[in-house]
Amino acid sequence: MSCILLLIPTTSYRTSDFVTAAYKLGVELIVASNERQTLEEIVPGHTLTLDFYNLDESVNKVVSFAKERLIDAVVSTDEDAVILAAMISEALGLPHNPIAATETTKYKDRLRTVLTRASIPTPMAHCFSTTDSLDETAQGVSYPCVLKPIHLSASRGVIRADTQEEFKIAFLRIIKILSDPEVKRLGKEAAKKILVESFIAGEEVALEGLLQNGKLTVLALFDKPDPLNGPFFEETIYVTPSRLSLMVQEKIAVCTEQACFAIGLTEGPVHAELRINGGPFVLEVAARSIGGICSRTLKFGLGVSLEEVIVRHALKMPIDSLQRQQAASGVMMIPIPHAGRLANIEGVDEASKVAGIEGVTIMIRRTQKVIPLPEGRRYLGFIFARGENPSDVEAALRKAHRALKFTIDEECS
Amino acid sequence: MIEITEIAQKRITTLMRDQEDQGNIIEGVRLTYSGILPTIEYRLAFVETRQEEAGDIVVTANGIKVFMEKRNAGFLSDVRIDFIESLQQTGFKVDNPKVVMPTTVAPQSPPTLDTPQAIAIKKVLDSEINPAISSHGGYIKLLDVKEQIAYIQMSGGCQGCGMADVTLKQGVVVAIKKSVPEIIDVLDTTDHGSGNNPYFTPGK
Repeated sequence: MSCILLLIPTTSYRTSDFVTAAYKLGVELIVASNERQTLEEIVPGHTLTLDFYNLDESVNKVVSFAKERLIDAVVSTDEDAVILAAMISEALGLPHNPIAATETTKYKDRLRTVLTRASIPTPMAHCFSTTDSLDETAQGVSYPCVLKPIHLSASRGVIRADTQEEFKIAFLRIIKILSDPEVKRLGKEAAKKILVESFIAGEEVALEGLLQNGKLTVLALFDKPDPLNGPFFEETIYVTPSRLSLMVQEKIAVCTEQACFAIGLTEGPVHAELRINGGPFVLEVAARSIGGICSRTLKFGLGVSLEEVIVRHALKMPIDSLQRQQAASGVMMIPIPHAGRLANIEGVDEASKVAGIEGVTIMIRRTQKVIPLPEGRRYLGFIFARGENPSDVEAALRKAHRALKFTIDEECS
Repeated sequence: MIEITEIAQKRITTLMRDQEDQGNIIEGVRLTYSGILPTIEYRLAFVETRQEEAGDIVVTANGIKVFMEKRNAGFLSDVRIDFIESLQQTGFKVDNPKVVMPTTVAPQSPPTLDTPQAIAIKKVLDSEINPAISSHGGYIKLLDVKEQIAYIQMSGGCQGCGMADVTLKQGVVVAIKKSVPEIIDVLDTTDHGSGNNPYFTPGK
């Protein structure tokens, strides 16, 4: 029986979907996480504890473990452990993306450098130290620009600035985010850098793909119909198939494949984000699949989940079809309107009954603290829809969202 | 006799045409299953020309060729393949009259917690699992044991926890099956959406 090692951070949205996929396939599963699982001692050999940021120690631990237990594939479910997954795979002699390529996807400054050198359209960027002179830095950049930490994901800490004054405010705000003890500990040197890049106007899309021997198969292309013009870049609605012309979609696919080639990615899931401004500009390429629980909006062939596709690919199991099921589908990541404590949620039943809505999943519990972007890193929840065409899906998501009412108690924040 | 509903037939035909547009010639679909009675997972996959396997049993239903391994053909002989498109779910649904699928809701009949199996499971929970998960404020209660399936409910730090599925499948299921080998599955009936104090919460 094939054995897969899943690297799952305890903050993952994807745990259940990946574990379910592995179980469905009947493969042997080992879950490695960054915090000790409560039953690890009682049921040894089924879970491992790894420090996802102490790479060498974690590789040694898995190599030692693999002497007793053959591991056939290693998959990181989230961004956190993509570099570690590549390092473990290399140590175990398993197919993997080059370690340097995963590092390039993890750090935005390296990504910009690699893409620019390969003449792939991407924002012009310059990396600054958090200790650089604020006045000089603000004077030295072109506007509008976008400031972002180099190692955080999900738009965390991403702020647009149109003037020197806005730049200074944004720069200091990001320094505050980077000074969070956990961000600092995990980011190490990366937590001392801020990337400043040109703002590219235009529509934004997300491409979900699978690399096999360097060849990219587009699994889905999502439109993001809400304009992302800043000052913060909150992800909300994703709808597929894209309503862009087939020619533009083809250009996006070609551009993404070229970006993967330039980075050196060859195997496994890819999540890319691009802006369309005369042609595609690559904003991000990540060596992982789509975040949150957004993957639940995708089914392939005769009903296979994205997680099953990823597990099958990693274990070299046959994949019948990578064709997305034909109906249009979409997801809305429910934004957090303001900081505080979630006091009450109303309208879930009403939202669920909107025609085309497949489900409403609330992720934050009552009394829990909620923090919006750019500091936050969570969504209130997810709304899923399916319909005959993308417009119906988008309309259903918006109608369902309007039916939801979140009471956030500011006094307790 | 295998039955493919009209809507499922249309759906399969459409998907087969999509495959053929990509240059793959599809002969039919392969029906397989995994799991142990009564918790069976069915799976449909395309069969391309010349991918038939020796000894396959092939049945034509509503114009679609259904391929099955010979050893599975008896078990799958009367399934009904449907396509569901509702607010709750979208996808193919296989009903097998030879299987009574359990739900993840605890059985309605009075629980049977005084059988040797139930007593043994409670012992595993009380002596091993609950003391361990109490460090995360969690607790697992045995609700019932029916037809070799244990129904449990998580509470405290486990209810709504982002890693609850790992605790269940990589811990609880293994520990219970090891101590009570006749148990074939452990089903979680917890309403995780109502958990107010989960130990691990998802976030980027």
